[in-house]
Amino acid sequence: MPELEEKNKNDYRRLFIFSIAIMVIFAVLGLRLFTLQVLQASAYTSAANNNQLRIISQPARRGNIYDANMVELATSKPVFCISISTPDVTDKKALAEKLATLLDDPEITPESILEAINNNARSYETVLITRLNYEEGVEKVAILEENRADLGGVLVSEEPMRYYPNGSLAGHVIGTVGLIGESDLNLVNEGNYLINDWLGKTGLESYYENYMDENGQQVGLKGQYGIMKIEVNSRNKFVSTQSTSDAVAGNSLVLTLDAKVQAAMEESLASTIKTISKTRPKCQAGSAVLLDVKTGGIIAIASYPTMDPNDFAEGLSQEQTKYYWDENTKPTFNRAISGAYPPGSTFKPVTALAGLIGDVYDINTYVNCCVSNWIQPRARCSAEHGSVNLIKAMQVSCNTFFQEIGYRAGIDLLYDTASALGLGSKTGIDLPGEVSGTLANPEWKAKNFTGWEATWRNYDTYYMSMGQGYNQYTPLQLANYTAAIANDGVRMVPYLVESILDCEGNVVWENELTVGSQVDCDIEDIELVQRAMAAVAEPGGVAYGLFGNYGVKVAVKTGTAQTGLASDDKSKDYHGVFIAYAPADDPQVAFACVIEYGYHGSTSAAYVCKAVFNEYFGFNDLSAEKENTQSTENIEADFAE
Amino acid sequence: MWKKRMLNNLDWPFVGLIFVLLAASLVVLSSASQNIILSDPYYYVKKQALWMVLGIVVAAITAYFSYQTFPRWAKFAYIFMILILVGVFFVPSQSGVQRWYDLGFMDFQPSELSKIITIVAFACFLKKRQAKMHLWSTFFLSLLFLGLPLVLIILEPDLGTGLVFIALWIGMMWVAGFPTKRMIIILLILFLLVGLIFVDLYIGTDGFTHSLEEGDLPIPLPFSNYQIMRLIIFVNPGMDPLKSGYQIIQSEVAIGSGGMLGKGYGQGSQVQGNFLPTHHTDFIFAVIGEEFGLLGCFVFLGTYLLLLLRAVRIALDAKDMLGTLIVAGVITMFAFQILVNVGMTTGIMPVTGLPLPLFTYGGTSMLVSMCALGLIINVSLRRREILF
Repeated sequence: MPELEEKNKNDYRRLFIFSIAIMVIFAVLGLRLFTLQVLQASAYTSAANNNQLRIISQPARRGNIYDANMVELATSKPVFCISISTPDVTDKKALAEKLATLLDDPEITPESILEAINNNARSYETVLITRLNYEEGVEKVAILEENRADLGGVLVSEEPMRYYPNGSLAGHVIGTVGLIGESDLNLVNEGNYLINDWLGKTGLESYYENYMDENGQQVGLKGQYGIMKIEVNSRNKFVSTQSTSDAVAGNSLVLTLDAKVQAAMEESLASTIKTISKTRPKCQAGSAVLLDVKTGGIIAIASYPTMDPNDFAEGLSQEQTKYYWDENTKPTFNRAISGAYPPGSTFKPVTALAGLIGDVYDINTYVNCCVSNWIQPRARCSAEHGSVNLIKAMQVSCNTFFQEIGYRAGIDLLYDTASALGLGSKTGIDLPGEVSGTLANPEWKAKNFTGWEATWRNYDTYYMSMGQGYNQYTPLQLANYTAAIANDGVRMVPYLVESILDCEGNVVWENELTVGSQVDCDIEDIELVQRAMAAVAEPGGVAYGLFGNYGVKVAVKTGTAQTGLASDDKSKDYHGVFIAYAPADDPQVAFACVIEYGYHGSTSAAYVCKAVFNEYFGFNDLSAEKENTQSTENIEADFAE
Repeated sequence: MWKKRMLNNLDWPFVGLIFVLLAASLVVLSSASQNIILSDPYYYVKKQALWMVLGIVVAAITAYFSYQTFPRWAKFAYIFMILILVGVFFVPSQSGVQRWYDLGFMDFQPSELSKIITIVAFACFLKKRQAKMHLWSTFFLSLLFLGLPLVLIILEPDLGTGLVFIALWIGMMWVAGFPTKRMIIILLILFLLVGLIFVDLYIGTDGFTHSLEEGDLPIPLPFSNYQIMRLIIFVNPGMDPLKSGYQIIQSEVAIGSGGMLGKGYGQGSQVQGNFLPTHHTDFIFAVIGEEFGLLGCFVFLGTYLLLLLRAVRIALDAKDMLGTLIVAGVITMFAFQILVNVGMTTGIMPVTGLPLPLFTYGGTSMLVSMCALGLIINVSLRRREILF
């Protein structure tokens, strides 16, 4: 059988090569082990010895946030951290049961403790079981101390935790902190953060987390954690201290915000919305801004529904999660900078100014507002106002007049004027999440629409002149623009942080005032617009009832804006918009407010304005309070009609 | 079928080496796992011993029924295997991975069992086509034969086990007589592919300096994100010192600091101080390296090499080609898993979940390894009568 032998020989050869391949695999592994264990043994031995060094980190105290009068808006309070050092535990199950009983918290069960211990991949690091706030913690910690003997491996330490003494006051701008998440782990690797560290997530907490000054110096809230290197044995038992570096506390922010005005704004925003929602259930949200006309410093800025940053620092309960992530009301959404709304008639001062800049009319120009002038594509007016000039037209918010002026000025001039007043672009406030809104012109329309809709038509200019159409601005932009009108056309960049203090109270950074943009016009033009806005609160103007007999003269424009949403009823669903500045003769502050589905600005947002001015100008004595309740009654009366 | 005199054929050196490895496995595990459940330091050892006893029973049963009857049901076994591999996709996924059936008393991994079934079925297939090894049809059918389970397993996703099938293809095709030239070309192509993947990753991550974002790769790869991440970390473990990169570094430190003679049984600071996670499962070889040093590693590798070379002997003496191929398949599987697992703990292979046969703690792996060794004993029992 020679053939079979030939075959066998072939099998032999192949199996021989097969075994060589196997030997090569083992040789490669052997060679690698030789490299590791002989050639590089000393390097790895010292690396292993270094593993006996533990780095104990001390979190830095986060800087505080103060209002303009040094009222604490955000601070840190001590909390007790209850954690477990796994290698010191002898009986996990017994410990878990004992600890759960002593802590007496329905959310901490023996199972959850066991799970936390078992899920800890690096068992030489301690496992955090819970944080107890100081007041209730003292008692529980005492109980734990009494049972020390049965709690081998349980550690109690004190740590600072973020705390907001005023709860939801200015919650949106202050922002939230949270534990470092998966997505932020690169921060840990870069060495600036600890694995269990806190991080500013939204608002000022996030914007000023690691703020750099002009020289690249860190002046943020964060601070630098301290490190203590200690030597331990393999059972994690302390042997000696090797070196220490102390924690450096973070810097504190001093805001331009006035907590009292802020509180007045939030209260009246909430009560106004609640009252309106009784008759108009869609009315659930709104936002308002008050800022300094000459500096751009923000005195109050609010968004409703409110949010309390404490809830996020403590961890959201199920109920809170439901509230904060409600798709309709979106309480975490800062409407003042992230919500864009059609301005409605509050845009009319822009139209007026554009017309004056273009010299297409003057104070003596009269337009006849009557039914025969309301031919399509022009929109109709709220009433036949007869022959009106700028002052009268502003007083009664005459659509016919402003459509004519806007048409004469033309879209380019309208666009340039609005743009110079800061509408449709980010104001540059020191907060994350600001949106630019929309300022439309033919190029914008060509870019965003197709076919015949892409062409700018006459009616687009008409609509724009009275604040309808495509334009959408944030409440902050509206306030900023109002301030620019009051400030003779100079728009200051709005800001919240006046200065930054180090932990000893020294000023390490100060805000520099910045001009954001400027309207190129004659001073007479802008003075005329100012006069027209002041006239709205004078006899014959729609705001006379509200500000006619007021402590200071107020310049005003109201707005009733079509929402532009297909799902809304065009004849019923309007946003109430209101802008104002005061005193009209020597402007200090400018105000803007939008109330979603608030209908007329004069019967919704206007009340917020009055409450805020009352607080700011100090009219909040007894008589003013009486007036306040009266105004609430007024709202109810308005809707009872 | 079963004749008493076959017991005389039992390959005592082979069986002896198995018991030496099993005993060593328990010794290593008892050091590796004593710090995991402190109230019951021998918890894992006891359970593993139980699995070993079961494994010995499984090996005995596997050895009992003659492998020459296997071709009769090989086809059904293969179809059954495909069914359970597909079926696992309908089990609710555990953290995005679908690998297990929950059998109540154990988590059953069909991919582990499929290695055994594939070895036997593929051996039967090659045996039938032995005279046609040079035909292209054999080549393409063989690719299909192993490609099907391979794709299903990679989709689970379990890249490590999937790669075993590529190794099986190479080892068994070679022993079955696949033309040498073609084998060389195929090996070259495989090397080029691996090289290409790393060049691709090199460009996509700017020299392995950051993790991958969508669209970074010049050529998209059909792997999941965490698989790609493991490849990146393999080249640059320092990039991710907190997670799997951390494991690689700690494992190398453990083995390297073991030096020539090791730190002594139960004295490994890396292991006992819990610096190295999963040191009783995937990274158990690091315990050998740290506590027994280079000497212990060489004894371990030497014993295993002896076992596999003894198995080659059995393959040579097998009564027929079917026996030779089954044994060659099992040897390939063991050698590949040892290469990948020990390579991973020493940092020359990417991290995959491939167990170290007989040493890694775990029921499925133990039973499957013992079953595979039972196959070799099966073949040895029915070896060719040697004519003097």
